[in-house]
Amino acid sequence: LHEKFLSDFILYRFFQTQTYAQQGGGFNYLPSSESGRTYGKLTDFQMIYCGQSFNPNSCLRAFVALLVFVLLLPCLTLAQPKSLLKSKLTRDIYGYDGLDQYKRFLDSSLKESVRDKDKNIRKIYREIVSARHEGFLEELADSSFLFDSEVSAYLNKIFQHVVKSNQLNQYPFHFFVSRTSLSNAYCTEDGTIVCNLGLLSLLETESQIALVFSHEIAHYLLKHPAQSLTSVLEKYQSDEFISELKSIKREKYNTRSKLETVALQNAFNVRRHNRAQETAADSLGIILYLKTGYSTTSIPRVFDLLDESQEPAVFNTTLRAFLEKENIATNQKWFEAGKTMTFGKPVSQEITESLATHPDCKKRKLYAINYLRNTAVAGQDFKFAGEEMIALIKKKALDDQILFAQHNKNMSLCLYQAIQGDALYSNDIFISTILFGALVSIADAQKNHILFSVIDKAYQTEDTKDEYAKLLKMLETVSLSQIISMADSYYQKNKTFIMPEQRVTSNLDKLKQL
Amino acid sequence: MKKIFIASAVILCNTKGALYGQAAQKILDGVKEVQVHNIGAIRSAGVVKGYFSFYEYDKADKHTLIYKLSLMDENLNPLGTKDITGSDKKQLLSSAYDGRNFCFKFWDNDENTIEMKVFNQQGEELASNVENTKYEPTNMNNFFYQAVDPELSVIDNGGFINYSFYPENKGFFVNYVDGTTKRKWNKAYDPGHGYKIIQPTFVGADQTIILTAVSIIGKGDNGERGGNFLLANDPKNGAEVFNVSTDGQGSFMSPISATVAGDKISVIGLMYTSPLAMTATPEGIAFVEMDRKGKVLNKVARSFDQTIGKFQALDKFKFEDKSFPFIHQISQMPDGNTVMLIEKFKSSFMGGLSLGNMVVIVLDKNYNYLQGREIQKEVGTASVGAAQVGGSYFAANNAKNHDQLDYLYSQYGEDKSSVAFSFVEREIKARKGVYSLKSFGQIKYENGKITSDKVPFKNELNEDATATWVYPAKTGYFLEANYFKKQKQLKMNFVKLNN
Repeated sequence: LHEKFLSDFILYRFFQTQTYAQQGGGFNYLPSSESGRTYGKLTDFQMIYCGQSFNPNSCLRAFVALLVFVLLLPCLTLAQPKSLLKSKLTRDIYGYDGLDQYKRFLDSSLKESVRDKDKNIRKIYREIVSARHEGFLEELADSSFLFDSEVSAYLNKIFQHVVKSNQLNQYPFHFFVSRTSLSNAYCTEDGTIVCNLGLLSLLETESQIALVFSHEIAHYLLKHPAQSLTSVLEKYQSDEFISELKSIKREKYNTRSKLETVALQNAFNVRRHNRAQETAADSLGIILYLKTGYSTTSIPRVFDLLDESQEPAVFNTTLRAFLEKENIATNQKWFEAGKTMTFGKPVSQEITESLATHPDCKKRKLYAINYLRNTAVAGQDFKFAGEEMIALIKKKALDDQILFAQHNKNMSLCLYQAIQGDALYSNDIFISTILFGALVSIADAQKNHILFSVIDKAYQTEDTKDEYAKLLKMLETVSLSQIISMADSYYQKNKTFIMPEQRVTSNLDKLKQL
Repeated sequence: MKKIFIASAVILCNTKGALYGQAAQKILDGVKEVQVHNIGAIRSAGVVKGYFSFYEYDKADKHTLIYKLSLMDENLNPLGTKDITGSDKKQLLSSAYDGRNFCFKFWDNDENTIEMKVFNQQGEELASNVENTKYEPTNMNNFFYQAVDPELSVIDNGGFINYSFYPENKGFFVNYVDGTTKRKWNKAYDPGHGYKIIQPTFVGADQTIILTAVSIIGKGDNGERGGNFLLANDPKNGAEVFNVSTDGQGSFMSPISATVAGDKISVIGLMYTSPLAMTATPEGIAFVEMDRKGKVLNKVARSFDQTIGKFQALDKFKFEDKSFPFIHQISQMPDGNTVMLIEKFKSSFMGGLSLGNMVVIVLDKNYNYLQGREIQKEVGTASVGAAQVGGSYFAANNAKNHDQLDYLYSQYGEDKSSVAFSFVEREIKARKGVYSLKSFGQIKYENGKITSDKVPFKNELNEDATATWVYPAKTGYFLEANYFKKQKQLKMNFVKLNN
C-alpha cells in the first residue's frame, strides 16, 4: 500500500518542485501522464464505527457477546446502583460510552510506540504522550466532544467514507468531533483524528470536509505526529546538543543570550520540519481524496477558505449593525481602535515566515491546482446530505459551538457567536435566549468586578475589521449601566423569542436586581 | 524603591502594534531566577499609556550587566524589549511617554548619576541627559529635606522634565530632554541662601514654558527667607522666563497646579497665613491668573470655611472629628467646575498618622461651593515618624511623598472630561496586628456627577498571594499584581470598575 502511495506521492512532490521552479524562473511544466495511481484491493477489512474499531474476523464473537449481553440486560439493570442507572438514562450527547475502552487502547498504543524509540528518549516520550492522553481523556469526560446522532454522525460518515474508499480499515482510527469553534482538525500518533465544529462553519461542501479528513489521515499514514515529537526529543537528547549546552554553561558571560539563540534556532528548525510535513500531508491527502468519488472542483476553494479563516474578519454581521437592529444606542468610542504604540523594530517578515507552522495557503492552492490539471475527476460535492440537510447540520453545529462557549464560561465568545448566528437565523428562539443570557451574565460579572472571568482575557489582532475584537473592546469600555440597559433593550424587543424556562426567568430576575 | 523578584522567562515579544487587543491577565513565571529591579506604569499627563519592567538578564563582563527593558501597552500587550547595559546598581526609577517618544529615568548608585534616556517607538535611543548628583534615595537626611517626585513630568509632544538635587544642599536642578529635537539641559536653581527645606514641584507646561512651584522653608525659627515661588523655564534652553513670589502681605500661596492657555497662566494653590508652607496648616485655596511674564492679572481666594466648611463644619481648619483635610488634588474641569480631593488625617498617639475618609468637594465657575461627598473607608495609618519633628502637616507631606497615605493616584480620562481619584482601604489583621489591603476604591467626577466604587481585594485570584500591589491602569480600571512565592509567579490582572 505504501509503495503505491509513494509513487503518487513522489509524482505530487515533483509537481510541487515544478511549481517552485515555475514561480522562481518562469519554467512551464505540463504533466503528461497519470501512471502509477491505482491501488491494489486490501483484504484486511476492518470496520470503524463511532470511534471504536472491530475486526470482522471477530465479528461473530462480538455478535454472540452482544446477544448474551442483551439477554442479561434486565438482570444487569436491576443490579446497577440507582445513580448509575440515572446517569445512563440521562446520558446526553456529550458523553462518550467507549471511554474505558479508548483509554485501554491509548495505553496499549503508547506501549507499542515506546518500544520503537531510542532508549534515551523512551522515558520522556512516554511522559509527554501520557500527559497528552490524560488531557484528552479529561476533555472527553468533560463534555468537550459531541456524540449526537446528527452533526457527529454525519461527520463520522464522511470520515468512514474516506477510510473505506482508500481501504484503510486496518488502521486503528478513532474519530471525534470537538465542540471548539476554531476552524481546525488534527490527528495524533495513535490514529485519533479530531474535527472541530468550527470547521463546519467555514467549509461549504461535504467534499471540502472530506479533503480535510484526507489531509489528517495522510498525516497519520506518514507518521508525522510521532516523528515530530521523536525528532525534537532526539535532538534534545543528542550528545551534540548536550555538549553545546554544557559549553554555554561553562562560560561566564552572555550565557542567556547564547541560550536564547540556540532556542530560537531550534524553534526555526522545528517549524521548518512542520511545514515540510504539512506539504507532504497535502500531497498524500489529495491522493486519498481522489479515491472518494467526491468532486475535485472545490479543492482549491478549501485553501481560500483556510486562508480567510486565519484572518478572523469573517462575519455575518457587524456589531454596530446588530446594535442598531436591536435599537440599542451606541457610542462611537465603543468601536474605535486604540492608538498604536510600538517599541522596537517589527519582527521581520523572514522571521515571521520562519516561525509559521503551515505553508502559505496560496502556495498550497497552487500546488493542488497544478496537480489536479491532469488528475481532476468529476464527482459529487454531497454524498450523505443535500444542501438543505447540510444547512440544518450547520445550524446545529453553530448552536452547539455557542453552547460550548457558554459551558466554558466564555460569555464574550458565546455572545459573539450568538450575534453572528442571529444574523443568519433571525428570531431564532435558541439564539435569542442564549444571547439574552450572555448579556445578563456579562452584566452580572461586571457588577461583581469579575468581568475578565467571563470574557476573553487575551485576544490580539491587527485587523481593524475584526468584529470579535470590536465586541471585546465594547465590553471593556461600556459602563455597568450601559450593559444592563443593553440587556434590557434586547429583552424588551425579543421577549417573544426568549424561552420562558426557569433558566431564563432567573436571568430576567437577575437583570432586575442589577 | 521597592525591589521585587520576579520572572526571568524569556519573552519573545511581538513588536507589531496591535490595534485591538488586550491581555487582561499576564503571568510571569520563574521567580527569583532574575532580579527584576523595577516595574511600573508609563504615564502621560495623568493618563496610563502602558507598563515597563526592568530586569537583570545577563552578565556582559565582570562589571557590566545586561538589563532587559520590556514595554507593554495599556492592555499588557508586549510592545518590545531593549537591552541596556550598566553596573549592577542600576535602577529604573520612572518612565513616561510624551505622545511621540518614551523616556526612562535611571539611577546608578555606583556612579551617583541620574540619566534620562529617550527612545523612539522603533526602540532607537534618541537622546540622553546625564547628571552627576549627590542625591541618595536612601539617605535619611534627603528623606526628610530633599523630597522630589520620582515620576517624570511630561510636555505633551514636547519632552520630559525631572527634578534632582543640587550637591551640598544648594538647591535643585531642573533636568530636561526631548528626543525629537535632541534638546537637553540641566538648569540649577539656587536660592542663594541657606534653607531648612526646599521642594520643587512640576505644576504645568506647554511647548514654550515649564512651570515649577518652589516652596522654601528658611533657616530661622519663623522661616525667614523662605516662601513660595513660581519658576518658569524655557524648554528650548532652560533659560529662566520668570521666577515670581506667589506670597502676599501676610498670606502665602503654595502653587499645586497650573494650566497654560493662550497668553494666560492659571495657577491653583493652597493658602497659608504662615510662611512655613510645608509644615503649616493650609487655610484655603487661591486661584491666580498671570500673563506669560509672571505678572498677576487676577486673584481669587477662598478659605476652607467657604469651601470645605460648606460641606462639613470646620473648627480652626479641623473637621468635627479633629481631623485635618489633606488636599491631594485640585482639578479644573472642562465644564468650568473645580474638583478637590481631600483625605482626612490626624496625628495618632503612636507618633504616626491616622488616615480617615475621602472627601470630594466641587466648586462652581466662580469658585463657590457646589457639592460635596464623603466616601467612607476604614481608618488607616502612616508611620513616617516625622509628626513630632515638623507637626502633622509636615508628617502628612512626607507620608504622601513616600506613598504612605491611602490616596494612590489621580487620573484623567483621555479627553480630560473626567477625573478619577484612587485610594486603598486597609484593615488590620486580627492576629498579626499588621495592616493588609482590604479594598481598592475610586471616586470619579464626570459631567457634574460624583460616583464611587470599591472592589474587595480578596478574591479567588489572590487567595494564596504572598503579596499584592496595585498599579494605575487605563480609565475605568486598575491593575492588581499578585506575587505567589510558592509558585514563583507574578500574576497581573485588570479589574474593571463600575463607576
